[in-house]
Amino acid sequence: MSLTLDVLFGVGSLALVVIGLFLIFGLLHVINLAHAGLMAVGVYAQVSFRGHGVPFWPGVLLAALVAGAVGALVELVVIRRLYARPLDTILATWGISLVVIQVITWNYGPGAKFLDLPTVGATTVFGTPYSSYRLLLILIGAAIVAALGVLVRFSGIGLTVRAVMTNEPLARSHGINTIRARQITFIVGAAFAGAAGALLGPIQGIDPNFGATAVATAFLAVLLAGRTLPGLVLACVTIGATQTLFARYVNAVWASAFVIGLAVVLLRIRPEGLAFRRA
Amino acid sequence: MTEGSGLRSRRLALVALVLGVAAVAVSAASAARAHSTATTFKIGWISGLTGSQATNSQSATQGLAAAVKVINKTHVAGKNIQFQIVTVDDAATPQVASQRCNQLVNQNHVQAILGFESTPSTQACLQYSAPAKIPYILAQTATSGAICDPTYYSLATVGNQQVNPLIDYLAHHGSKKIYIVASDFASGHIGTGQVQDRAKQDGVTVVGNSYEPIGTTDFSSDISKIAAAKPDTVIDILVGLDEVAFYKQFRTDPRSNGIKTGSFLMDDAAAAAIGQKLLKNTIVNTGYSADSTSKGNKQFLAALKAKYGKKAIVSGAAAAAWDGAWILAKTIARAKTTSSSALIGAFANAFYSGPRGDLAFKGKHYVSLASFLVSYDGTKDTIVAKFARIFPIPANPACK
Repeated sequence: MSLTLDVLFGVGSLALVVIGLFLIFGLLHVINLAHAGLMAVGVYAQVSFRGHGVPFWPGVLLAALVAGAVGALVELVVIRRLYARPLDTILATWGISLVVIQVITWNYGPGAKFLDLPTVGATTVFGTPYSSYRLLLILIGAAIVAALGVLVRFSGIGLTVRAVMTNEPLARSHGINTIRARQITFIVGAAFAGAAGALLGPIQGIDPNFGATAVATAFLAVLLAGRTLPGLVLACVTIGATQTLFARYVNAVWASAFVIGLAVVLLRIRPEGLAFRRA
Repeated sequence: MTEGSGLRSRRLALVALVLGVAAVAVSAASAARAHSTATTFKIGWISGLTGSQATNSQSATQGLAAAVKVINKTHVAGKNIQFQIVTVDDAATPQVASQRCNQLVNQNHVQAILGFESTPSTQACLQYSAPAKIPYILAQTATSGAICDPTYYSLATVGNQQVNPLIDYLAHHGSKKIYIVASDFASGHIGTGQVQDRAKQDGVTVVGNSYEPIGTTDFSSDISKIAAAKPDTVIDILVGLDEVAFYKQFRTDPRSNGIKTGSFLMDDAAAAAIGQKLLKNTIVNTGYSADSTSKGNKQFLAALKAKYGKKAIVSGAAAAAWDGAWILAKTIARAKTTSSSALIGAFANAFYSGPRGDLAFKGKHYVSLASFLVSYDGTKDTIVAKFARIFPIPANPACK
């Protein structure tokens, strides 16, 4: 059972990191290399809030708001001017990432920062005790994906998003403010990155390069996901489970390389992503 | 007064004036010459001020600056010798280390290099300093012991100094089965081999080991393996933030209940990041104790406080950098030379008693030094064993 929970944790924590990237890539076609920087904004915001006595969970929400605000600024100043030039957005977001990391370094110093866990106890799942906080992260990852699924499938906002994703000129001709849709998507994606940083901070070391390692795997998941939410779930399960199981039974050092190889093969077979589309 | 005697008087006065001016000129020249004999000795200081080693490097830089202030003020290196520090940041990567050392050697023309670097970064630096016959002194807390170079001297502990006291202590205090989790880099692999060898000698069984890439954020697979192997003690040879992440995940997982942990690479920054609570049941082998009452440690602490006040970071890293500056100054004073190539040979007989106790090379390139075992009980840390002097056995058998 503990191995199952480890796999679920691998999938859930990956989903937390991926969700913001997926939104931005899926709707805006922007490969957001500033995602790690936005995660760092979230975790450092949480460090500051905790330092000022803000409880952990409200701190996560506030950290998401801070990262969202930074995302709004980035979208307004840089990304909006580059929507027609997708390759340039890669360079621009990479540059933004460098700026964000440097600003964090100026403000907080280059050294490690620390976040206490909100809970250090264990919870028994089917007779197996497991870290309560890791269980919470699994549940939060699943809840966010489920909520996003409901939002996209059943709400007016979701309809707007799907319309813009499917055919932006047609959506615009029907009176949808596509610029606003893009802006909101980027802000929400940035806020998710900030929340992921704030949530993962307590079980990781924190420095200005926070998130860089996790984002590399997350990009693979986004590429595998295609542009559908079921694809995202499948990609997170495939990569998260493979990485955890390969590290457990074969070799942790080669797990990342194996996952990259697997992603390349899967993309060769299914270039449109893992999810099946209805005919 | 006759005209002749008046003329003579004027001549005498003129001669006196000329002599006076000459005397003043000679005196001034002499003073100027005396002033010009104040020699500046340029030291290149290379550490990872950004990147994974930033916290320790900042602390080490404080230790160095405090040492240089005292050394220059009290003329430790020689009456007219003043240290000048050229600081560069290697970002904790060998590629940047290579560029920065090129700069130190070929642009700044430093006469010695003090480094707070990893083994790969040190090797990258030596590509430039060694051919130029510039001594490189590793002022670190721990190193792999893989480097052998005539221009290289290490003030860091090597495998046997790190591993043996810890494994011996654990073996004598009930550990029978250990599991090793290490970072996938030179020191991790070397350290794993040394732990395995020492455990075998002590009659302790190694029930498993695993390597994780540097930068690992999820240690679930290791925790599963550890739980399956059922050790009584886990030895971690993880570096930097990876070690912090491991303890935060391992110690909050119920599968770690009843398992002790031991570390010989854990530095002060990592221990602070993990926190007393999660370090419960952990033994750490360290080369520096801030609680030491030695004269060397008192001087170190006073100098650090005088220079940095409340911002002073007392750590093994700061003590190692302090030691580096002092042993360099003492060696220059004993050798009576500031020639880089002459100093290289002089280091073999260098010794210094500082915050980390008695340091001596004794003809080798790695230092013999003291060691402390610190035990964490969840609320405080206590020194449980001291080793006065441990002679180094570098991992590379070619090293002297």
